[in-house]
Formats: sequence, structure tokens, C-alpha cells
Amino acid sequence: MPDGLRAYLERCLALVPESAYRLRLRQELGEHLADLAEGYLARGYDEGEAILRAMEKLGRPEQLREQYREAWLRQPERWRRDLERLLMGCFLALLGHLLALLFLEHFVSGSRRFLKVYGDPRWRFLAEGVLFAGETLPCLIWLLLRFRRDRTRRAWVTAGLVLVWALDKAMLLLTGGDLPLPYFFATLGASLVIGLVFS
Amino acid sequence: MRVDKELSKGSHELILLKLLSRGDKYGYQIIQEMALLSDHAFEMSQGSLYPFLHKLETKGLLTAYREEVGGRSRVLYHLTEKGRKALAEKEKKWRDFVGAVESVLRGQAECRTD
Repeated sequence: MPDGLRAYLERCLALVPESAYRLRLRQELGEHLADLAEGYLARGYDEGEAILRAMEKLGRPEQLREQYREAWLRQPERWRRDLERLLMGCFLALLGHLLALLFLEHFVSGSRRFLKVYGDPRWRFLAEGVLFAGETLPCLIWLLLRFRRDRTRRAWVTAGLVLVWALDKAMLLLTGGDLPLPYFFATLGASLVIGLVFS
Repeated sequence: MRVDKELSKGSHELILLKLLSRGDKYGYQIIQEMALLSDHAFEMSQGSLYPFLHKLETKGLLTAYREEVGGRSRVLYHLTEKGRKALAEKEKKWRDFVGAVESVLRGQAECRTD
């Protein structure tokens, strides 16, 4: 596909965040443009002119992209896909949490120097910070990437981080772990701030 | 002759369903047939066609599938049973509407001649 055509399609689809629907539209529009260009070639236009005329005939990207976004919003599968992305973010957070836990077990708890890590409030704070970073970062990066073209990205990323926070705290309470109030509010605040600022 | 945009907008769904009732078609084919059969009176904005088709697909009036046509892979649209029923209903409503407008226009013409 010529570069000009690819750039034109990118501009038309700039507001469609969902890759599956974007791919579908790109294929159909690409085929339509090829048919249009073929028609102009048959009428004696040279290749460059035929492609330009085909793009003109299809419409202005500034107008089309709003229509394509609205069409995407009507897709019945959209909510399921968004939810899947969110849950994937939670799964990655869980993996990150486990890795951080392994790290703490190996490098902190196992070391004589940090034997009393959970007894000392300073080290407890650090250990909880490592766990928080371990679960938040993979989830944040995943959600930022998956919702990068979405106008509601901020809401999704923040919702994902708060969901991860809630799951983490629920698991902690269910397994009988103690949860100091400052840590409870500090991690909730951090999740909200990170979600709102970074997205 | 081109039909007023606002007038033709409301009839796009009926026209698309009617064209697809005569056989499965891909987007470009639909645009071509629409222009040809209406003597270019109905020329839908080409880029707007696909969101429109997808909307009808979401409503369950059409289904889409990929098939090779003329050596090229194409997305073809097929009218479903629900689409056929919707078409019959829309055709009837359209004829009623046109009939009503016609009677008003004829009445107006008669009034003028009186």
C-alpha cells in the first residue's frame, strides 16, 4: 500500500482505539480505495492522480474519523473487549505482586540485615512500597498501552489501578493480614494520583 | 439529477436493504449499484457506507463474511431473515409515505387550478 494511502487511512482511523475494529475498517476502506483507484486508472488517470481522487471520493479524514469513532462505540463487543483488557491488567498486577513478593522473600526477609523487616515500621513501609510498585507498574503500563487511543483512557486506567488496589486489600484482609490505616489510604491515594496523572 | 441530501438520508437504510435483497454484495458494489440504479440521484458518501453497514449488522439485519470475488478477497454483506422482515416493513411504510405526500401534492395542484 502506498505511503500516502496508509497515512490517509491512519488519519481516518485515528479515533478508533480498538485494534480489531480498526483492522476491519482499514481492510474494508483499503479495498474500497483500491476499487476506486482502479476505476480512475481505467479512465486514463496516472497512478498518483488515481489514488488522490480515490481518497477525495472516500471523504475527508476530519469528518470520517468522527463517524468511525461513533461506529466503534456502537459495536456490541466493545464492552467485553474493554473488560478483558481491564482484567488482563489485574492479572499482570497479580504476577507483578508475586514477583515482588519473591524478591522480598529472597533479598529482604532472607537477609540477616532485614530479618526484622516486617517488625520495623520503616522497613515495613519500604516492603509494602515494593509490593505496591510491583503490582501497579505492570498494570499501569498495560492499560496505558491498550487504551492509548481511547478518549476515556484516564477513566479506564484509574479504574484498573483502583480495582487492583481493592483486590490486593481484599486478599490481604481475607488471608488475615494486618492492614495499617496509613498504608491503606496512602496506597489508595497513590493509585488514584498515578491513574489520573499518568494517563 | 441529485436528490436533496436531507431527503435521501432517511431512505439509505431502505435502499441498502433492497439492494442486498437481490444478492450478497461488497461495499464498493453497493455504492456502484446505488448510483447506477438511481441514475446517480443517490450517491451516498462513500466513507460513510461502512459505519452504516456495521450499524445494520449490529441490529442483526445483515451479516458479513469474507470471500474471494474476481480474484480479490472481499467482505460481502448478506441480508438476514430479520433484515428481510425489516425491509418489507420499511417498503410498506415508504409506499404509504410517498402515497400520502403524492395525495397532498395532487390536492394542492387541484386547489391551484380551482
